[in-house]
Amino acid sequence: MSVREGWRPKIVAFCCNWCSYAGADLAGTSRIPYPASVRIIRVPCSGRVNPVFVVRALQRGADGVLVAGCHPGDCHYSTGNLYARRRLLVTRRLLAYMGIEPERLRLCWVSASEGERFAKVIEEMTAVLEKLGPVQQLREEGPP
Amino acid sequence: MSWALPAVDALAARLLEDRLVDAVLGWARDPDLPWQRYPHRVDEPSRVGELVWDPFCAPGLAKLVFRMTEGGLKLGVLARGCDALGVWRLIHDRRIARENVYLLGLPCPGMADGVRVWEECPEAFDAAGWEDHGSHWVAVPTGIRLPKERFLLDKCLQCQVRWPRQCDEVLAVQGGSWNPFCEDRYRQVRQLEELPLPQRFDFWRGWFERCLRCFACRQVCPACNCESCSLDQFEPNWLEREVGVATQFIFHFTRALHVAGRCVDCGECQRACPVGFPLGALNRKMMKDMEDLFGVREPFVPQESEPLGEFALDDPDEFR
Amino acid sequence: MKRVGVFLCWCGSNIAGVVDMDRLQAEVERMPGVVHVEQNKYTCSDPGQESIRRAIREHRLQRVVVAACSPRMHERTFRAMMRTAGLNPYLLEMANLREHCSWVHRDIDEATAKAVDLVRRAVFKVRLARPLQSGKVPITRRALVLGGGIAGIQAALDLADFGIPVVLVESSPSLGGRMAQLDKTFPTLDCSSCILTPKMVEVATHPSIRLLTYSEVESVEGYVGNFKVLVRRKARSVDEQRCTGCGECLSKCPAKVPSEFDLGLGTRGAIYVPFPQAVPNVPVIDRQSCLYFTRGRCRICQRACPAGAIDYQQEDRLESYEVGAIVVATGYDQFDPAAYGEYAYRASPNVITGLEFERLVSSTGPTGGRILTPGGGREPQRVVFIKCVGSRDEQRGASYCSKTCCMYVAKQAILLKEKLPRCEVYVFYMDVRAAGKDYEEFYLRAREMGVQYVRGRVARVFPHGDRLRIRAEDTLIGRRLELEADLVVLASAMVPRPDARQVARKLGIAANQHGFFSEAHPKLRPVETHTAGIFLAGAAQGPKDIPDSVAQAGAAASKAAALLSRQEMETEPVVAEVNEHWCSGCLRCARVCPYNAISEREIRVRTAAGVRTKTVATVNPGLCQGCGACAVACRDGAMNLAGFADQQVLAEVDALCL
Repeated sequence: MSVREGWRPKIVAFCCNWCSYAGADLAGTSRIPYPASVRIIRVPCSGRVNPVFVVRALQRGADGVLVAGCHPGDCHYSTGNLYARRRLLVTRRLLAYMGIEPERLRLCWVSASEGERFAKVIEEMTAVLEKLGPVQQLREEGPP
Repeated sequence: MSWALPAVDALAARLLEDRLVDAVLGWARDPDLPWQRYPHRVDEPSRVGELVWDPFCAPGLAKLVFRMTEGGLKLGVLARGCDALGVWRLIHDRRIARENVYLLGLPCPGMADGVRVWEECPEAFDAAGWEDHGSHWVAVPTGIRLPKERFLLDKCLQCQVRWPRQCDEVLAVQGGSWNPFCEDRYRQVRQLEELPLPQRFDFWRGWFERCLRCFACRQVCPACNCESCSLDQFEPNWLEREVGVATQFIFHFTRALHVAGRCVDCGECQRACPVGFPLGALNRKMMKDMEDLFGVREPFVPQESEPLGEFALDDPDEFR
Repeated sequence: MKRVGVFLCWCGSNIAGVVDMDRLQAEVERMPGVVHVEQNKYTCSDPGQESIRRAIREHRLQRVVVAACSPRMHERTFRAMMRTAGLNPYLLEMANLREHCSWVHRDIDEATAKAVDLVRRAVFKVRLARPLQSGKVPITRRALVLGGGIAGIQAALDLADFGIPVVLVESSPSLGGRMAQLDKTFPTLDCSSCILTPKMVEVATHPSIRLLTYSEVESVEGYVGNFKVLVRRKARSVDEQRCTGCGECLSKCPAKVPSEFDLGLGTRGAIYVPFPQAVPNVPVIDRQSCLYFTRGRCRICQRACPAGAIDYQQEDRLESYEVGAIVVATGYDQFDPAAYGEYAYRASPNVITGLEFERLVSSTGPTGGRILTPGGGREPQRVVFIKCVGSRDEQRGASYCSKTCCMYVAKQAILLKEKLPRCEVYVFYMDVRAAGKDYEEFYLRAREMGVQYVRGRVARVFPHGDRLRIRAEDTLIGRRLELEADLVVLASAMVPRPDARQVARKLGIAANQHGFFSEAHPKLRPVETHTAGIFLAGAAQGPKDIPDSVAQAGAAASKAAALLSRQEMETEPVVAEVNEHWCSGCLRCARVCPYNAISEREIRVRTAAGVRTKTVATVNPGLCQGCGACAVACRDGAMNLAGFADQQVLAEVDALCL
């Protein structure tokens, strides 16, 4: 499958309400431009992100998934981001083991004051995904 | 010393007579298929003779213990290492009440692939009893020697728990020795990890094409004991009914993740799979990561806490 | 299918300047369930809100999407609007077209395409939204204060003055805590007891306060507004009702043991009151050192007591209290300087801690206020203070600054200079931190009085004859120093009470890596804990001086009072929910819950084999804060988070990936 003309990567980002969603808001209020590749889903906490959400996004058309939460120690719910880190570490390794580029899943810590960081993360990830191209493995229609 | 079926019978009878248990779960011969042993429960001391303990007792018992004790039945279980760990998985998952099981540990010499023995050496089934000679099973009194190298069940090759752990009582029978075939449990995992990514996907894709999604792996698994499996649910539809590469991926991904840090490595899933899907390679990958990432020692031994239900402040952060 | 209305906000030109609103509208009109789409210049304005209300009426809308700014900005506004339009506020979803789209993207095509996705996400999610109701839980109008030091005393008095009944539990025989051990307080040098004792008496006599000294909290159950606290009242061996506090027993007791209150510098009897101003002024028998309890003979105190209050048969009693809020003010301990072997704290009696110095200089102390070396009993010619013993030293102590030492060292130096003008005083320090009202001036006063401040660490202290030899370095001039002194005072760190972690576990609150209790937010919720209804005051939360402790106690008391001033409390509707039918009862969810909001209960279910009971998880909506960790821990999919349900998130994913 060749990459279609004009293809742009699509990132589904799960942002925790207290830090990262606010960080993305700050990028907006500070007018820090970043690629239009990202689509944000607001969750209360990065610990709310079920690894199956990640695979579902990759299956349905996302080229990368970002999970963003409060820095360790700053979680609004104390520990949610630490559970998320474990689950997603394992998720990422399992994805790689099953043949999906691990770079497609990223977990990062963005605080409410890090608008610039949020923009930078999106830029970096977009660049990585542009190199990788679309998820080819999970896009075939019909029975295998 | 023989393989001591009488000792097993005697103990089972004693447990029933002393009313320590209501029934004893073990294995019995199949009347029609000589190579087959199926799980069997006896409720009367007089019927313990129906139980059999020989190299063909392939099926795992843990998941059956779960169903049988649900109504409060007190069950004695002839438990090899894998069965005992499976039962403990269910105990830690609060699916079996500890007081409802009495684990009769059976040191295990490894089980034979009955079908292969039947094909190559049907007269082996005439034996009256068996002895464990380390590298061979030896039939009594016929003296037929079955080399383990040739006949060991796949699931027993990588077994590290021939000695039953965490049992109420361990029977003094032959077996339970170190498994010489288990040098590196993660060999297949390592091999796959070293493949280039596209070939890794191709490997799994080949199996996705064969997988029937019959859920036999789930049905036998002691770690898959949910009241309602999320993969069966329609709302939310975690897994669509349509069978394609992507949904097969999600199925096997979800199953592996749900048993991550919980799998007891009994190998029943792969034994039950009609197409021979290498489920063990997924399960052991999770085990290996539990060890590598979180320092979990013996990740196949059930603990009260699960690695994925815990965290450490200094967990690795390898997302950069 | 639910009838969805979508309201596209221009936000002036903030959104409409980048997103092609007409193209967006055309796309949105084709989305499933959408029956009405309109554009507004400013949807948050009164006319904007009114037009939504009108559309809800006219188009019989059941779900509403407002595509405008960040929900963190106006979700509350629009939820309130929903209520006035007769719809449940949780049937609203916002699409963030401003902060997440028009303000960060410039290309109209890209921004418009993204805006379509963002609105579709909101539509897909809101279609699966259910009306959520906040629950109500009753509130018990009584507070528990844990700890009878200055913070606990202040919190109890403030609460009681609000008219709220208070139970104050103190583990030692008397109120007072650390402050009672101090001589004078900085920066005013007023006598600690003189300002503390009246407050102690006020607590004891306040009609709304039930004072339980020599008592400990055994267990805490329940949740905000509804705690059940079991208190162990340790056997005092003295009947509190009968005792008149005459003190006859105290002088007669033949036993002599080191006094805890004087930190071992003085002695007390086996029957004792910790200090003369103790409240309540009722002695307690220390059964470990009492001759009657250890050898079965003596009974001198019983014979001496004119009131017949001595009761050797008394036993521990358990009392249960229902309270609505808890203030934790369990205080601090001093760091044991034995870890610093080079300071000879164990080796020489003339090396003491700052708190021990307080007893030495106090008029109620073992020397009656005369400053004498504990070893030789003579007036010191030269005193050396060493600061940061255990503080700011990750290797052997703690990484944090204990905050009070700079000031109390200045105070103790001033006291020394006042009482013994000819005594030379040296202070070895890393930094002087005197942030606080009148603190810098106070420190300068110490310097003006002739206290020698030397910047540098002391390398060694060793006994030399009947004096101490100190080897140090003055790092400002890079010179090694060696001097002799009669007394060395170590400003040892403030550390948590040794049982702090157990207390945290009992209460279900968090403690940081050092063991100090964690506040819910370091800036915005400094006196609350993560567990609703439990508040923090004083040094149990971190090193603090008296004014800070008192201020925090007042803040904790008013937070608790605000909670207890209501009869019942609304619970947040975004909480976890259990599908009992699916729940396996493994309780993995409970293990990841930071709020202890999940417990188990038995239900009866009908199965093919008849009716049986099964265990399921159950969520206490009063405790749940809606983080959703449990929903992910649950493999059955039986635990879900209202407002962020699995099916909703999956629909959002689908919507974004179309």
